[in-house]
Amino acid sequence: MNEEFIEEFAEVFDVEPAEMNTSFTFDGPESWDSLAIVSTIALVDQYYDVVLKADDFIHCSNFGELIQLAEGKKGS
Amino acid sequence: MAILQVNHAAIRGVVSSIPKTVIANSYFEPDFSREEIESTSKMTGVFERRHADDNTCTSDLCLTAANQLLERLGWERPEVNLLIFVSQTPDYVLPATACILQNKLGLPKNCIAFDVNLGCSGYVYGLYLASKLLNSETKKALLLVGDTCSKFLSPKDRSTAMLFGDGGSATALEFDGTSDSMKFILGTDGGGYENLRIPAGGFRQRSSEDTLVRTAAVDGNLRGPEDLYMDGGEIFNFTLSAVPRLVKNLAKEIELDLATVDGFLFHQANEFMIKHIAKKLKLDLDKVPMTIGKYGNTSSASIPLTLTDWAHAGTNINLLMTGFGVGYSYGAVYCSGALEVCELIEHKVT
Repeated sequence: MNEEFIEEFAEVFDVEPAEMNTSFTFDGPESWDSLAIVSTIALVDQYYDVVLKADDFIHCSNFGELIQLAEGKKGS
Repeated sequence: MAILQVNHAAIRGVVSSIPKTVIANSYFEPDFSREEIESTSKMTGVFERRHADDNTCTSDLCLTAANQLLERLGWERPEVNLLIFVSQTPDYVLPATACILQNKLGLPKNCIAFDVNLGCSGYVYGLYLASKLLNSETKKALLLVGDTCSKFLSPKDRSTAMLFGDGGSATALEFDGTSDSMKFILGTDGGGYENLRIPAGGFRQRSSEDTLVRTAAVDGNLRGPEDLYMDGGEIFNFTLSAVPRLVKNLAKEIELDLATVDGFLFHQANEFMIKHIAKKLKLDLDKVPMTIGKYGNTSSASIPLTLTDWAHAGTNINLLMTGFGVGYSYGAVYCSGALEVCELIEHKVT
C-alpha cells in the first residue's frame, strides 16, 4: 500500500500514520464529517484514479474495507 | 469531444464589480458555532465574501462594470450591437434583463440582447456565444456575467450560507480577423440537475406560502424549497470525474502543452477542490489563481473576477478557463492575447 496515501489518510482522521492500518475502525456513517468525506474522495482519486461516492464508503467498517473498495473499483 | 473554434473574435477588456459590503466569517456566529464555521471555512477556503444589499441586483453590478469598461476602452455606445447577460439572478421573471441593460447602457436599438440562464459554466458559454455572433456587421459585443447568490441562500444552511458571494462583470469582445483563435469544449450532463438547484419558485413548483417555509432537512440544515440546495458530495464527484478530463481533452485536441499556459482560471467552487484538480493535472499552483478566499463562490462571476484580480492590462497572456457546476454544465476555453482593460472595482450604491 502506498505510504503517502496512508500518511495523508491518517491526517484526515487526525491520527498517527502508524495507527492507520487495515484494521483501523470507522465509527459508522455519522463519524464522517463533510471534510473527511471530500478528503477521502480526493485521496482515493489521487492514488487510485477512481472516484468513489460517499455512500459507497461511509458504511465501511475499517480502513481495509475502504482499500478493497477502491481497488475493486479500479479493477472493474 | 469536438473542439469548437472561433477565429475572428478578440477579448478587448474585462471589468469586474463587487459589492462594497464585506461579510467576514464572524457574521455567521449567531447561526453556527465557531467550530462549525472554522471547519466549513477549512473545507471551502472561504474567509470573506461580498453581499449585495437588498436594492442591488446582479444587473446593477454588471452595469457598473460595463460603464467603466466602455469608458476605459473609449468605445462609442452606438457601435455596440450585441449584449448577452448570463445569470441565474435576473431582475425579473420577465422581461429579459439584457433588454433593461441595453436601455440603461444607452446601446442602440439594433442591438441584439438576450439572457442566458447558466451559472458556474456561464462565463465560458457566454464567451462562446458572443464570439460566435460577431461578424462584419455585429462588430462589438458586451458580455455581462454575474450572480447575487446571497439572495437565495438560507442563512441556516451550512452547506451554502458561508460558501457563496456576489459579483458581476463586463467583458468586451470585438470582431477581429487577425486575432488568435479561441478554442472551446462545451458539454452538459443534465442527469445531475437535482444536486444543485432551487426546487421551487419557477413554474414546475410555483411559489406559495408552503414553499417559503424553512424546515430541518435530513442533513441537519434548515432550508426551504425556495432556497438553494446543494449536495456537496455529489457536486464534488461530478467535478472530479468531469473537469480533469475536460482540461486534458482540450489540451490533447488542440495539441497544447499545459506547461506553456500562463494562467488556469477555474470556476472558484471550492479551494480544496481546485487544488485537488490542479494536483491531478500536475499544474503549477502559481499559475492557478484563486480568489475564493476573499470573494467566495460567485457562480458565473468567479472566472472574470479571478481574471481581473490576477491579470494586468497590456500583457500578452494565454489562458485556459474552465467553468463547471449547476446543470450539470461545463466548458473550457483556451485563448490568448493582451487585454486593453483589466480592472476590479467596487460597486457604489447610488
